[in-house]
Amino acid sequence: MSAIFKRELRSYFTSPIGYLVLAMIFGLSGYFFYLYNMAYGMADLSYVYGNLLSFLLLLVLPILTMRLLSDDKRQKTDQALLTAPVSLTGIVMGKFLAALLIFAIGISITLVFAIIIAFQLTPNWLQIFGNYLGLLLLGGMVIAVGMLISSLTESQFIAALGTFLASFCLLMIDSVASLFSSSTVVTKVVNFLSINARYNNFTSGIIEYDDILFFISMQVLFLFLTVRVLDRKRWN
Amino acid sequence: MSLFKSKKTTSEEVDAAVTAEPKKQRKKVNFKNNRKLRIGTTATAVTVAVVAVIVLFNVVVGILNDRYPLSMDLTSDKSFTLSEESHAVAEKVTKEVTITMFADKSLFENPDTGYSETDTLFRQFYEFTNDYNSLTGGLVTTEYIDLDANPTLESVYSEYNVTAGSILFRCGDQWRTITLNDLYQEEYGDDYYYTYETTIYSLVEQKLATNINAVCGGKTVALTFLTGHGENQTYVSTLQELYEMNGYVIETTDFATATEISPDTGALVIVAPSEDYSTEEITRLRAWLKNDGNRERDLFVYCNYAAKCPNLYEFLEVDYGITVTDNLIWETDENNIPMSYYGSYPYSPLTTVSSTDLTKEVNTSDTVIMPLTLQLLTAEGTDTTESYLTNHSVVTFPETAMLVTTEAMQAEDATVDSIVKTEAESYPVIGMAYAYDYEYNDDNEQVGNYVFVSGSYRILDYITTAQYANEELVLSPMRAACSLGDTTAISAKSLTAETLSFDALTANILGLGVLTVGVPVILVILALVVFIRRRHL
Repeated sequence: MSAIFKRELRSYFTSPIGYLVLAMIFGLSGYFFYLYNMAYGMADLSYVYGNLLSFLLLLVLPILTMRLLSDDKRQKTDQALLTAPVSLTGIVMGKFLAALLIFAIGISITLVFAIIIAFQLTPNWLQIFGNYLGLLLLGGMVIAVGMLISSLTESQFIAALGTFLASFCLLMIDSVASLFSSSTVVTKVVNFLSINARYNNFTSGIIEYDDILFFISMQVLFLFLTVRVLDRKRWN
Repeated sequence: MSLFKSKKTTSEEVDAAVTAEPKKQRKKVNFKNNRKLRIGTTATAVTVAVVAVIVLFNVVVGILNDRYPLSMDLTSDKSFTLSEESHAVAEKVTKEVTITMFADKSLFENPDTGYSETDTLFRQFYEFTNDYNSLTGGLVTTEYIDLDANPTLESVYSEYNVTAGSILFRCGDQWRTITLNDLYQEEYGDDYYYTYETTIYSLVEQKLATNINAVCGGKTVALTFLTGHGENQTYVSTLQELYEMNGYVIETTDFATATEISPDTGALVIVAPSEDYSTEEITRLRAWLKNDGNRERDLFVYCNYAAKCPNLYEFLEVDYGITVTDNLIWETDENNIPMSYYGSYPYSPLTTVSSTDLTKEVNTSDTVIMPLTLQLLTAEGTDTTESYLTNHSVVTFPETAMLVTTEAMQAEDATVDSIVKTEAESYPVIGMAYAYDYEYNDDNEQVGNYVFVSGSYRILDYITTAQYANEELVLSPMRAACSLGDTTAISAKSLTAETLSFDALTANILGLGVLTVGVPVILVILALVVFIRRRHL
């Protein structure tokens, strides 16, 4: 797995993708920090984290995940990968962790913002790390979704589009719940799946263990499904 | 018939062989396909099982979280954590309490109004009501009814006189209503006229605790402000807001016309009356304090230097040994006088607070400012061994303090230099004091009254000024004399966050130039370089 991880990580920096993804995250974060904290004077970084969510899910993560498995399929290097002495789980985890690390590096710029704030006030580091954790967990979940979609196609564009649509559905799920009465099963299920509500807990400064377990279990679920897809390909 | 027999084949045999129906071939059992089928079925079953386990896991975690919520509040002032006082209120709940919020639930579950203070208030309401549900084992439940979406439901709750934004607390036959506006308080900053600076305080926890406690039959403490005697409404409101933010229920009664005072009242408050009380009113006041021998009621008086209230002052002197004189305290030591651009204010002297039973929350080294303070005289130090009355000085002034008559102070041609000052007959000069008068009731229990007298009402001008301990000086005696106990002594929490101040140049260069544009552009250039160098690979 570590070999796959290192290879994947290196590939992000030997191709434009890694730099572009980081540029997008830094640019968006920097803009929101400038707007809310420097121009409006808010000491709280939760506005930056809150506003980053949509852009990261709809724009950055689809680009980050589009080539994870579809590129191997397109270049026919998936055969070598599948026959390598690495378990499918190792392959999937290696690629997932590489993408997650790039994402983590990108959102680490928010910690730099906290350091800038520290020159004027004492930031609440606990709450900032809580926000960071929430964004990382949510990003990990969407990366896992993106990996699954990437494993189903050899077109990077379709993989990116699929991840975009999946992220869009996840973001809009609260709107679906509002169409139904609050007592219906559909609403309960939809509320359960709502990532907005769970993520808002983190940005509000509240960490609930069921939110953490939800995001981790969703990552496990989609990574498992990705392994199943690759396993099916191997046997075919 | 085989075409490959050794004997010569006739043409008829060939025709017959060609036109004959092909023999049915036996279906071959392909071991490879069967294994694939087996593996595929197993893989599908495992996939379904894993998905089911993960879904079930999340369902179980969700149920456990509802029953035993476990969360970490990372906010700096624990904005979403109930205090020990609220826990004490929850422990005393033994009957079902229903809290009905007449608004859409999503506003509170996932607030996004665009205003951080409002979002925090709504979120606090949601979290705290959930916590009460957990702490009380489900006895306290909260329901959300959107009257805008369901206007017909308003008639169902007509007896409670609720509208959109109301909050109804019910427990059996007991009920109370408040509104969303009661969940916060707004204070104007000292320089509001120039800066429009305000501070928002959350009263969510306090209101929930007070009202749950009240409908469950618990003790609440009301402070009744007496009006009808030309009180300065600005100062009355200032003091009411301060007490309300600190857990008290505030009521107002026109004592000139009212015949009854709320039974929950623990103390009466008189703030800067400009008209005297009548003898009949004094009689009623005395009777209320005596409470048929049960006492346990208090009186707080903030004197108005510009008013003559002989009946009220006589009552304070005769019944409680505190004499309100006609002299203002005038400080001559520059170290005890606040200075400003406009000059010095010897009639707003600075001093410290004495350590007494009612001022335990005030640090005796902290400075308080006492503008326009009438001199008080007390029976403190006299022989009271036969009496159940004790007097205590709270704020005093040293020998550098002199006295000026109120007439001289209010004279049109009065100046700081020309005004006549005299020495006091005894020192230290008292500006604030209290009396404790007690007796033994039928059960031989000691019951008493605290009567607290401030020679100045203008101390309320400085309760939000951080450099003076005026707020503590005002709050501490009330909290000590008229205790809320463990139940609802919950202070309001400020929601107004600190602000940053970056000058435009720094913001534009650092925020926009470097963070938003500069660093991303460098990364894009790196991406281009990598692309150009590796495009041929």
